[in-house]
Order: sequence, then structure tokens, then C-alpha cells
Amino acid sequence: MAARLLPWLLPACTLGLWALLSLGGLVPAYLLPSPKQVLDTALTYFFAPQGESYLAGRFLGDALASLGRVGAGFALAVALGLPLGLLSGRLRPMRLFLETFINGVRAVPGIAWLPLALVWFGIGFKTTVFLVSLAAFFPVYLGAASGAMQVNPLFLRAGAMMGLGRVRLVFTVLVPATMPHVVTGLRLGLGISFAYLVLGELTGVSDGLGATIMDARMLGRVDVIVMGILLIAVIGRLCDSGMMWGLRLFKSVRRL
Amino acid sequence: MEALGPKSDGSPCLKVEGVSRDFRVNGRRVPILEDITFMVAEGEVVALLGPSGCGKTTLLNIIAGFMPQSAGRVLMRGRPVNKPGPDRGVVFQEDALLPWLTVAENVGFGLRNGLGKGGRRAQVDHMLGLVGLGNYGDYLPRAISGGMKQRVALARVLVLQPAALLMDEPFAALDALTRHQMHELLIALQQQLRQTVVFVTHDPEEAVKLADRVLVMDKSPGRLRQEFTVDLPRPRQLDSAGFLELKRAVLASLGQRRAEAPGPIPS
Repeated sequence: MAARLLPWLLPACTLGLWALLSLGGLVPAYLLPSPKQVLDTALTYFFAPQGESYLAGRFLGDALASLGRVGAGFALAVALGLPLGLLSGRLRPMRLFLETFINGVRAVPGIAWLPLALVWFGIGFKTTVFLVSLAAFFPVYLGAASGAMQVNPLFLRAGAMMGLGRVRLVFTVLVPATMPHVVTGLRLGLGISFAYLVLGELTGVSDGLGATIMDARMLGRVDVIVMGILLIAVIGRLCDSGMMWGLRLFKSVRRL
Repeated sequence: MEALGPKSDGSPCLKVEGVSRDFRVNGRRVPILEDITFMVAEGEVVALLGPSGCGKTTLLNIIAGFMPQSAGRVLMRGRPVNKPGPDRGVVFQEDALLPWLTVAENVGFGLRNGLGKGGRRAQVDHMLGLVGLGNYGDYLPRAISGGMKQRVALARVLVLQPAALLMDEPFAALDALTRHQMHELLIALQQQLRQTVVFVTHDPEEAVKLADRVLVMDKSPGRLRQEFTVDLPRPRQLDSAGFLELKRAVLASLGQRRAEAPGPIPS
């Protein structure tokens, strides 16, 4: 029972404190709207017929637009980061070849790429996807590389001794053995994807959760900003859970 | 040096011919193994006995195909060895089971897909029964003891019916009682399957207890010093006069420094 409730304790306390502060009049509503006000705003955002107000009924469209950008950017990061990480973890020449370049690029904060991305790709989908995949690449790559480097060499020997060829060795021994590190890299990468999603959407795109937050700032709608932050928290958490659920289809994730 | 003849007059299974191996340490060439030559007959059990650092594990790794030799060659049923393969099943000293697979999945890991699921399951169950783990198929390696893990390690290579079983101090990490049980199991399986076995050990008693022949190795560089044929019936009585005498002789050979050694094996 305690294990069921404990994860919700901190969110509930935060909500309680928030209610206390705003309803008790300790913080003025223009700085911190009450939970009730944010809930009303959210209901409008979710369910009101479109066109009733600027916000009405836009949630589904915004969420899908944002998830599409995160999905595309993150998928690109995984498609590049995972194989490159595994290769550089196992092959010294590959590691030497990639290391200086990747660590150099990694030192540049993602925000510094924003102006260049705007020049290259303009405002919208491509810029956001570029930023997300750039940011998510590094944790995915580093997770795979450090995992592959630390694989118990006896596992590979055992596989080879039982007659496995190189390709089967990679998929039935190397990848499963690397999984715990890969999972960590994927989770960090997905988390940072949302950070760069909002960054990409703050630049004036017309839809998406980040765009809604940015518009609300211009309009002075703190309630919308708070709602946007909460929605990103919830969606980010759900995406992480969903990804973990999918990864648990692998024995190596369930059992290691 | 001429190949040492096997005790039994069976056909040769494994031939090691003039194998040497150097390692490079700080740019210097350090010989680890020097001109190792011996032969193992089909169905024979041979112990490689030597002090730690004598290169016995390196020799086993070369036979297994995990590392190349600097000179000489290894022949497995007449074919030169250049990479690992299921004809040479290896039981490692440490736990090398795949931790994300159950006991049964580990044992079935090397079996060909061509057998079909049912055929594989039948072979796995049969082999688990042979090593006394019939009820543990669904356990994960982390849930079983060290001795049981080595049984699984034995089962997953025996199920592939290797020409030779190579064991690198497989029982060194086990407690005395478990080690004794593993010895019994190995002897029983070897008798039943007529399995050719080469095992590495630093324990003279283990060597004399299990092997048909004991090859004692020298250190720096590793060479074959002396060969003992163990002509005692199985199961061996560890307190019989013959056993004790042979053990003492092996121990003496092991303890001698190079200068006092009774010369190289006659050529």
C-alpha cells in the first residue's frame, strides 16, 4: 500500500502548498494563479469548441505537434547514437576516430545552435527536430558506448565458443549485455528531448506546447504558462513510462 | 620435442605442436609459453598442472582459439585451430553464464534453430538432468549457487557434443564440499559420454584424482616439465597407497626449481 501511495506524496504536497499559497492570498494571482483557475484553463484548452477563445480546444493539436517533433528528433538521435555508441565502445579505432569530435560538439550548449538552426532550417518542424536530435544524441551515444565498453569479455568469448558468428554475437550477446547502460542513455535522452522541444517551439512556431507557453507569456496569462509546465511534466513522465514499458519486452531489460 | 603419447591407444583428438606465445610488455618481448608439444587421445582426460603464472591458462586460451599462438600449431581432429568453435567447449573459471537468460535458455543458447523448439527443449532437459539440475531450468543464474552455475556452464557446452571439453580451473572458486561433488559429477559424465577433457589446475590432488595423464608445467617461460600417467582405477581412493605416492611425486615435480628439475621430457 505504501509503495502505491509514496510516488504521489510529493506531487500531492506540492499541490497542497500551491493551493495554500494562492488561496491564502500569500502570493498574488498575477504571479501564481490558483489550482482551480489553472484547472479551468486546462478544461478550456482540452474541451472547449475551437475558436471560442484563442486557447479553446487546441490541446490535442498542440500535443500531437509536440510529440511528433520529439518523436522524430529522438528517433533520429537513437538511430545514430545507438549504433555509433556500440561501435565506439567495442572498436578502439572507431572510438579514437569519434571521440575528439563528439566531445567537442558535446561541449557546445544546445541553445548555441538555435540561431544557426534558424538560419539553416527556418522556424518550425525542422529546427525543432534538429535541436532535439542533437541534444538527445549524446546521452544515447554515451550510454551505448560505456555499456559496450564494460561488457564482460567472458560473455563474448562464451558466445564465440558456442559457435556464434559475429552478427549473432552482436544481437544475442553484446546488445543484451549492454542494455542497462543503453536504457539509462535512452531515458536521459528522452528527458532532454522535451527540454529542447520547448526551446525549439519558443521561436515562434504556431502550434505545440512550447508555443502555447510562449504565447501566454506575451498575453500575460500566467495560468496558461503554469498549465503548460504541468502538461509537459505529465506528458514527459508518460512518455518515459511508455518507453520503459516497451523496453521491458526485452528479457535483458526485465532481468538485468 | 616429440609428441607425448597418450595413455590409451585411441586415435588422437587434440594435437599441440611446438606452440609458443610471447607477450609484449613495455616494448619488451616476454616469452610466456615455449615449444609446448603434446597430444590428447579421444576419450582421454589430461590435466595441465602448474604454478600460477606458468601460462597454463594462456595455453588453454590458444587451444580454445581465443588468442593466436606466436609459433607452432594446434590441431583439433586434424584441423588447425584458428578461432573459437563449438567443437571445443570451454568451462571458464569465473561465472560466464549470460545473466539475462534462464538456466534452460543458457543451456539451449548454442543449439541450432534447425532442431525446432521441441527438439531443443528435449535436449536441454536431458542435459539438465545429467548435471542434476532437472528442476532449475526456469531459474536465473543470479538465483543459484556457484556450484550450480558451474553445472550449468558444463551443461551448455556438453549439449553441443564437443570433441574436447576445455576447463580452466573450473572448480577453484568453489568450497571443498562443492568441489568434491563437482569432481564426482565430472567423472561420472566423462565415463558416460567418453568425453575428451583437458583441464587446467594448480592443485596436484585434483589433477591426480581426475586425470589419465598429468602434464606438469614450468614457469617463465612456460614449458612442459614432466608427464605422469595415472594408472589407477576409478573412482580413485584418495587415501590409497598408489594415489598418495603419485600425488607426492607430482607435488615434488611441481615444487622443484628449474635447476633441479629432472631435465626436459626426453626427446
